[in-house]
Formats: sequence, structure tokens, C-alpha cells
Amino acid sequence: MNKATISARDLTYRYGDLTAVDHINFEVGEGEVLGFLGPNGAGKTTTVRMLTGQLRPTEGSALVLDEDISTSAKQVQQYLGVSFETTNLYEDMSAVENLELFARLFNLRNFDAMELLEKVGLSGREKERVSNYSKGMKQRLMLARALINHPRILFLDEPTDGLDPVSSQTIHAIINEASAGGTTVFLTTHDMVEADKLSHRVAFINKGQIAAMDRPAVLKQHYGKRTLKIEVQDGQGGTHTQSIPLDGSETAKQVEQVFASGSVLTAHTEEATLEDIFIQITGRGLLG
Amino acid sequence: MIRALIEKDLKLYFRNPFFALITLLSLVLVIALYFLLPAHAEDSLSTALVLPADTSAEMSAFLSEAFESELLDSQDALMKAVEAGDYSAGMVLTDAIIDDLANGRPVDVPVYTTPGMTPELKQALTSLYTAGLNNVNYVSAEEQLHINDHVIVLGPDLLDINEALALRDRMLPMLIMMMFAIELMGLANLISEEVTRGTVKALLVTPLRVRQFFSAKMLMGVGLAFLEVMLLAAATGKLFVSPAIVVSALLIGSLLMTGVAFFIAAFATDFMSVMAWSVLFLLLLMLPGFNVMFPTMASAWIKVIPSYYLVEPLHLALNYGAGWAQVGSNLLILFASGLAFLLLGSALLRRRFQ
Repeated sequence: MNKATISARDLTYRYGDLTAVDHINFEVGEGEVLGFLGPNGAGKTTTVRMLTGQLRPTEGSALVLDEDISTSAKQVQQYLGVSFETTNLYEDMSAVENLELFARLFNLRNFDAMELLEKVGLSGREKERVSNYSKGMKQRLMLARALINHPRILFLDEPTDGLDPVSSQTIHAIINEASAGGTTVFLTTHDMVEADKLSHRVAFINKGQIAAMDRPAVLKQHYGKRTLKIEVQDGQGGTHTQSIPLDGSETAKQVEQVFASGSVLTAHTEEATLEDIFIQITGRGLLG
Repeated sequence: MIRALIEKDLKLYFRNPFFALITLLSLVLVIALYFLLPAHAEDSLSTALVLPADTSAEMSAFLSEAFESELLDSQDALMKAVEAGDYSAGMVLTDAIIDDLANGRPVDVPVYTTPGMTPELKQALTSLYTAGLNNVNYVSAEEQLHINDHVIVLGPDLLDINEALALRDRMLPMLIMMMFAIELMGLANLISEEVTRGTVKALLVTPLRVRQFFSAKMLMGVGLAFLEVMLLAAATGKLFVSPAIVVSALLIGSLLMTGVAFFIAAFATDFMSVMAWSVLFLLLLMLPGFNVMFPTMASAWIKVIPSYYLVEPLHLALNYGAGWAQVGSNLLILFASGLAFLLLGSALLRRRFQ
């Protein structure tokens, strides 16, 4: 891992008696994409709010770009880009006006809104009021707004939720490009495929605690079981599927037996998904 | 940063078709209303008199002059004329009444008036008829009467103008409050939307500080409200009576209204709740304005309402050219109330979005 840009130490937040985030510890390196996964109410948004200086931790601390975010939020926010889960744009202003406003808040000189709008595929409609935009366009504009200051850390909360594949692809490309340029991406998502595809590492958060955190491949290797799925023709003209674990001591023998029967129609290997692993680790689904 | 936010807020305020229209329209209408109302108070009384049919011409002329009244033929004609508004009041003198007057006996005379006559006019009417009856009594019974005429000026008369205030001038503080009301609703809606739509969260993850956010809202609110009411005061020409005091009162008043807008925005969750909360506050804040129009309406409790300390100095300054000595303490209380609302509203708002 490159030099850490985010470092959480016993980070805790309580809403009255409810502990939303419970002594979590993790680090995220420069240019790394961290997928932060968990069901609703697991503590994802509270964590992001603490890391972006919107909430002061009840206990513990978070170093963001080597500064304690709870005491130096404004200095750190100069280098952060945040895209929220719910649309929070100025709908009665155009895309250009939205971006120019935030450019002024970041004190950016010679800011070119069109360059960013082209990047997110919104050029040509830049002077329209945002209220006329589709959900995908608004989401892309929010991403453009988060990129306005060339952030060193990009916090993205469900950036592709409910979007069409084309819009999702655009956003994925931007995330990869940002990461390649050295920007740390803290990605909160429900979409396991997206997390698997984009993240260098993923963290599973459940009931305010980090249940597991590693590279997707390592998690799959550690928790998941690769299996061989074989579709077999039975005696009555129907078919059934057999699953044979690939990493067992009897694997070779079982496979040999099935193929010897001469009734195999198809065979393919199957890997555990991140969702399977999440359920295995936490005992609950991501949507639960 | 603050400037960027103020520019953004002004843009959004005037892009909201409802508030843009209502702000401009109300300014024009309020100024028009002021000039449509009479410039002078209607303080003259026109009265009519009915005498018995056999009254001599000399007696008729004497009584008409004594009561400063126009003679009509019958009680029926008099009642119709008064009801139609041709006369402020009328009196019917029967043979029995004239006989009692001639013999110095006490008389009971019915007087017909229009409904809704102000207490001031009723008092003037009573004085007129009492003087007239005493005059007749003196001439008829040759008894010495002591009638003293004196002018009673109702309300403060700091300029010693010795005349009643025109309705439009009495209404002016109320009209100013109406302009404030429009701006208050607009600002409360703007801030409330900022919270409900979550745009404030986006603003506050930039280097913008919370205090800068509030400063921008305050400056925008005070600036817009102040500009609107200054235009009104200037258009009516009243701004120049006591410019320093009027400008100060309007500026501090804008602060109070902005504070109230903060307060409303802290509770309102959408446009309709902004309207509902605003109406509630405005009913209360406008009461002192009614009190200026109808001075006998309220008693000391009106002073509990913070806007009293805006309306009262405005009334005294705009209409009577009052000085700092008369309005200074009111303006101080107004400033304190405005500041209190602003701080309380800011604290509640901050709790809401943090």
C-alpha cells in the first residue's frame, strides 16, 4: 500500500445510546480505491461524514492527509471531493453555474467548467437548468462537482445507484482515471459487482464494525469456495446440476466419476461472489 | 466565498417565479396604494338638520347657522341622505324639542350618524351639537352659558402640525411591514430549501465555514429586505423626514426579519410549512402596525411583540419627524430582539443540518 491518506484509529460515533460506528481501524493508501460495503444502517455514511469533517467523532480519531480531520477540517476539505448519495445540486441553476459556484468556494482561478462537463459527458446541455436533467446526468454532474478541485481523496457515496449502464461506465472510467492519477477513492456502494470491479480493497462494515477488509481476490480465496458446476442428463430425459468443491481432497475422484457416466451436458467453474462472502462473514445480506 | 454565496442566493431568489413576482408586484402595489389613499385626513363634518314645517324663515336661518347644518325637508329624507353618506350626521328638531330649548329645559335629541364613524369624529360631532344646542338655549332663554372651544389633537404632535394624520401615513409602517413579510417568506424558503435539498452539506464539505454560510444568508436577507423597504420609504418621500432614524430603523428591522426567517427555516420542511410558519409569525409581527392605524385597538401588551419597537419608531420618525431621544431606546430594544432571533435561528438551523 502506498502512503496512507486516510488513517482511522478507534473511530467511533454514537447517536445517543446507539453506536453507529464502533472503534473501527483502517488505512487507505494514496491512489487506492477502497470499496466500503455494508447494509443500510451499518455505519457507512456516518464513517464518511466523520472522514469528511461533517461529524466530529465521539471517540477515536481520523487522520486525513496527515491532519486530524476533527480539528483541521477546513484545511483538509480543500483537498477532498465528495459526491453524495442523494442529489443535492442547485436545480434552478445550470451545470456551469453549479460548477462555477463551487470553483469560487475552492478559490480556483481560471476554472474551466466545460472541460469537466465534457469529461462527464454533459457538454451540449451545460446551460440548461439542472432540474431538466435525468438522474444519470445529475449523478454525473455531482461527480464533476466532486472533481472540481482535483481532489487528493474522492468520497463517492453510491455513485451509480439506479443509473443506466452507459452512465455507470462513464463514472467507472472516471474513478479509474482518478485512481491512476494518484487520487484515493473511498467508494461506498451496494453494488458488489461494481465494488469487485473497481476496488483495490474492500471493507465489510456491519453493525458499526469492520468485519473484514482485504483485496477482493484474497477474500474470495479465504472465505469463498470455488466449485465446479456440472449439468448432467438424468435417466428420465431431464437434467440436474451437481456442485463439486474444487479445493477438496476428493475433487479429482468426484469429477472423474461424473464424467465417466457419459451424461455430462455442460461444466463450468464458479467463484464465490463478494455478496456470498459478506453473508458468510456477517450472517446477513447487504440489503438487509 | 460570502460574495459567491450572496450572488447565488440572489440568483435563486429571483429565479423562483413566485417570490420574484410577488416581491416586485408588492413593491409596486404598496407604493401605488400609498398614493391612492387620501393625502389628508377627512376631518370635516357635514351635517343636516330637519325643523318643524311651521318654523319661521328667521328661525330656520338661525338654527341652520347655529348647528352649521344644511336644512332638509323631512326626517325620512335626512335618514336616507345620512345613510347614503351625503352627510356625516343629522339631527331632527321637533316642536317639543324647540319648546324645551326655548324654556331652558333639558333636551334629549336623537342624532343620526353613518356606521363606522371614528371615535374622533363622534367626539367632534358631540361638541358641535352641544355647542349648537347651548347657543340656541342661550338666545332663547337668555341664560349665560360658558362654552369653551378648544382643539384636541389626537396622538403625538411632535411637529406641532395641529392636524390629524392622513390614513396613508398611518398605514405606512404597516405597508413597510408587508414588504418585510414578503422578503421574510422568500428568505425562509431559500434557507429551508438549502437544508431540505441537502445543498448545505455540499457547501460545507468545501473550505466554506459555517459562520461564512450564515453571514452570507444574513447579509443577503438584510440587504434585500433593506433595499425593498428603502425603495418604499423613498418613493413615498417619507425617507427624508428623519433620514438617519428611518434608515437605522429599517436596517435594524431588516435584521429582525432576517432573524425570524432563520427561525422559520429551522422548523419548516417544505414550501407549505414555510408559508404556514410565516403566516403565524406575520400575524403577530403585524399587530403593532394595526395598532398605529387604530390607536385604541391594543393596550400595553403590544409592547411584548418585537416588531412594536420597529413600527413605533418608524411611525414617529416618518410621520412626526421624531428625534433620537424619542426613538433611541426603541431601536436598541429592536436591535437586541433582532440579534436574539438571529442567534437563536442560527443555532437551531445549525442543529438541523449538522
